[in-house]
Amino acid sequence: MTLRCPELAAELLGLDEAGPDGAGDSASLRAAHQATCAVCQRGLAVSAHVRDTLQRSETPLDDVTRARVSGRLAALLDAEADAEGAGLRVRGRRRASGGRGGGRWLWPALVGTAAIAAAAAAWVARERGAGSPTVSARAGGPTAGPSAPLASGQPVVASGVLTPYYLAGDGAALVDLLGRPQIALAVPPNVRMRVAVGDRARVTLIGPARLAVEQVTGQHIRLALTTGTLLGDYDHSAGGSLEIRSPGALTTIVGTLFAVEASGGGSRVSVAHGRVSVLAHGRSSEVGQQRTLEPDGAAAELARSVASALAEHEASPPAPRGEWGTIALSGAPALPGVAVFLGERQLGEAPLWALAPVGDATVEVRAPGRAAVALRTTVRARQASTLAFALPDSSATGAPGSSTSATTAPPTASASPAPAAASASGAGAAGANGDGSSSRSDEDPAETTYARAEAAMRDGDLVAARATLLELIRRFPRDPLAAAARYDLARLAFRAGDHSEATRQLDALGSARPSATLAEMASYLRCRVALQAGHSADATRCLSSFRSDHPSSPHDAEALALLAELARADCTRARPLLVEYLERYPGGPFASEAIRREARCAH
Amino acid sequence: MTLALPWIDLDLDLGPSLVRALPSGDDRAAARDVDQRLAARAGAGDRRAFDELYRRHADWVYRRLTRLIGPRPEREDLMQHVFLEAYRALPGFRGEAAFSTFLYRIVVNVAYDHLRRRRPQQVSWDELDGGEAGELGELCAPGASPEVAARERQQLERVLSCLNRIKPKKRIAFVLRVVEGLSLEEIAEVVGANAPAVGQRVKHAHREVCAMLERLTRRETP
Repeated sequence: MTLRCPELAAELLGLDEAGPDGAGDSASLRAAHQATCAVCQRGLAVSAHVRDTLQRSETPLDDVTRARVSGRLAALLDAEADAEGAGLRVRGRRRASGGRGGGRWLWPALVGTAAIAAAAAAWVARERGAGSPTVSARAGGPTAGPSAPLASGQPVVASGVLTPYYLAGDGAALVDLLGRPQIALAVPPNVRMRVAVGDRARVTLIGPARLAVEQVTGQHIRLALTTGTLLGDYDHSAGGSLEIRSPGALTTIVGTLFAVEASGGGSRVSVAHGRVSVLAHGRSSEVGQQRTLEPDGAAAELARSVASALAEHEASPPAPRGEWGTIALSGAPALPGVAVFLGERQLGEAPLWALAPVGDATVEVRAPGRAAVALRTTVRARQASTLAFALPDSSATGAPGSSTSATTAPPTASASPAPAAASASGAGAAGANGDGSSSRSDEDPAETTYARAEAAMRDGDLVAARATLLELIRRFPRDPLAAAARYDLARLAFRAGDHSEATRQLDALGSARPSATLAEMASYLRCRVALQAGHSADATRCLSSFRSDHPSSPHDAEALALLAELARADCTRARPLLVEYLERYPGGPFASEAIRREARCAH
Repeated sequence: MTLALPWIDLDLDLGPSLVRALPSGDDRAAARDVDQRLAARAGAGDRRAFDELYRRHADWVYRRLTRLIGPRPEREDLMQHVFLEAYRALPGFRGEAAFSTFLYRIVVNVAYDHLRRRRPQQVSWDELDGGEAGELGELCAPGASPEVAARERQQLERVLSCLNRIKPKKRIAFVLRVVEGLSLEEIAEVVGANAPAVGQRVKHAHREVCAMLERLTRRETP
C-alpha cells in the first residue's frame, strides 16, 4: 500500500489548519473525498491508531519518581556549582545557548567528559571535605606519586567516574588512587585493579591496561579500553547503558557479566551471562551467553580461563557504600591457588589492598591442602589496616598470622586460626557461596533494591515491599533513595490505616533532610494522616501550614478543598476558602461542589 | 470524623491527584509571565527559581518524553537530563520564545539523541513483534482485565516496533504532528528545520508506519 493520495497528505499535514481563505470549504471537500477514498481511510486509521495507542500507554509521573529526579538534579547542580567554584568550566553554563536546547551531540566529548567527571569529583571531594585543587589535579588521570593522605568517608557513586577500590599484585604504587575518582586509569603489568564505574557497574582491569571515560550522558556511559583485559558486570535495572569502545569494536552492555580483551590486533568480547551487542567490522553482532566474538568476527565458545576470571570477578565484594577504610594484606609463602576472602566474598590473591566498610572484618586466607588463616580486624574510616599472614603447613590446623596497623590511630587487629570447616569449604571455591553462586540481594545497589521494592508494590506484595524498603534503609542509610523509601513506608502505613507508623516514618524522613520535593510530599502526607486519623484540628493546622509553605504545590487545590471540607459547618470559615478555590481552580474537581456550597453559604 | 469526599482520590498510589497541565486560555499568558520571570531568575543562578520551574513542568516533560520515545524506563533519566540541559542553557534564554517552547526543544533534542543512540542497527522482522514485551507489561491498561491488558500491550508493542524502525528525525516529526497535534510550523520551530522538510518527514514516516503495520498484520493473518 503506497498511501499517496494527495488528500490524505493534506489531511495528515494539516495544511488547511491555519489557512486564511477557504479552509472551511477545503475541509468539507476533503471530508467528502475521504468518505469514499479507501487510501485516505486506511491512512487516517493508522494515524489514529498510533495516536490512541501512544496516548493510552501514558503513565503519570508519580511522586516518588518526581522526587528522585529532583534529588539527583540537585546533586548534579551542586556538583557543577562546586566545579565552577574550583575554576573548572562546566559545559554550557556560561555559553549563550540558542534555541537548540543544548545541541549536546555537537560538543567535544572529551571536554564534556572532563567537565562532568571533574564536577562529579569535586562534588565527591566536597562531600568528603577534601580540597578542590587535589581533585582538579587528579581529574586529569592517574599518577603514582608520593602517598597522599588516605581518601575516605563517603562512597563514590557519581555517574561516569572511575573509582578504584581494589588492587592486587605489584600495585603498591597505586594505593593512593583507591577511593579517589578518576577519568582515566593506566594499570601496570602484574596488577589487577577493580573499579566502580558510577553506581551500576564495576570492572576488573588486568594490567597492562588503559581505561578512560569517553562520554557521559545522563545514565549512559561510554568507556574507552585502549589495551588490556576488562572483566565487568553492569546493572541496567534502572535504565541507562554502558558502552565500551576498544580497538575495532564498540560494545554495548545492557546488564550482563562480560569481558573485553583489547590489543593491537583488535578486540575479543566474551559474555558469561546476558548478552551484549558489538559493532565491529562495520556490522552489529549479538554475543550471547557463554560465547565469545573473536577479533576477526568469528564466534567461539567462551574460554574456560575467561569464564573462571569472570566468575571470580562476579564473586568479589562490590565497592563499599557508606564509610570505608583500607585493608592491606601481604603474606608468605606465595603459593599458587592462595585465595583471600573478606567475609564470604572472594577478594583475590595477596598482596592486595582493598576498601572495606567500616566495622569489624574477617579476612580469611585459604590455600589448597592447607589450613585456612583468619585475620580479624576493625576497619576504621580514614585509616588503613595492614595485615600479614603466614600459611601453616598442611598438617597444622591453623597458625596465627600477625597484624599491624599503619595509621595515625591504629585500629585493632587480631589473627586467629580459622575453623576447620571454613578451610574445607573455602579452599579453591570460585563462588561466594561455595557453589559458585552469589546472593544477588546482598550485593544489589540502592537503585536495584528500590526497584525490587517498587516491583513488589506493583504486585501488591506489601509485605515484601516493606521488607525491601527497610532493607534499603538499613544498607544505604545515606542514599537519597533511603528518604524515598521512608516516604513509601509512610504511604504504605497510611494506606493500611496505621497512623502511628506513618507518623513515625515521616518523622524519620524529616530528620533525614530529604529533597525539597520529597519534603513537600511528606508534609502533605502528614496532613492526610491527621485527616484520616480524625484529628480535624491538627489536619486543619497542617493543611494551612502546608499551603503557606508550598503555595505552588500540585497538591494545593486538593489541600484547599480539604480545608473547605473541614470548615463545612462554619460558613464564615468555609466561604473564603470556597471562593479562593473557585478563583484559583475554576476547572478543578471540587469546583461544582464549591459552587453549590458557596451559594448555600450566601443564603 | 467522616468526610464525604467524592471529588478526591484518596489513593496516593496514583501519584499527585491533580496532574499539572499547561494552562490554557487567559491563564496561559499569566503562566507564561511566571515562567519567564522564573527562567530569568534561574538563568542568573537562582536555584529556587529553577526548582519551581521543575515543579511546574516535570509532569509535562514526562508526558512528552513518553510520547516521543514510548513508555520506557529511561524516561526518568531523560527527564533529569532535560532539566539539567535546561539549567545549563538558561543563561542564554532571552525570553523571546515561551519557556515552554524552549523546554520543548530540549525535550525533543534529548529524545532525538536517545532514539539515535538506541536505534537498533539491524533488526529482523522476527525480532520486531515482541522485543519490548517485558518492559511494557506493567505499563499498559493498568487495572484492565488481563485480556484487555494483553491486547493493549500487543498493540503498543506493534506501534513501538514500527516507530523504532523509523529514523529518529522522521519519528519525532511524525509523533509531534500525529500524536501531539502540532502544526508543521510549530514542529519546525521545535526541531530547528523548515516546515516543508518537516512535512516530508511526516509523510515518509507515515508511509513507513502504514507499510510496517500492514506487513505485521499480513504475517499474523493465518
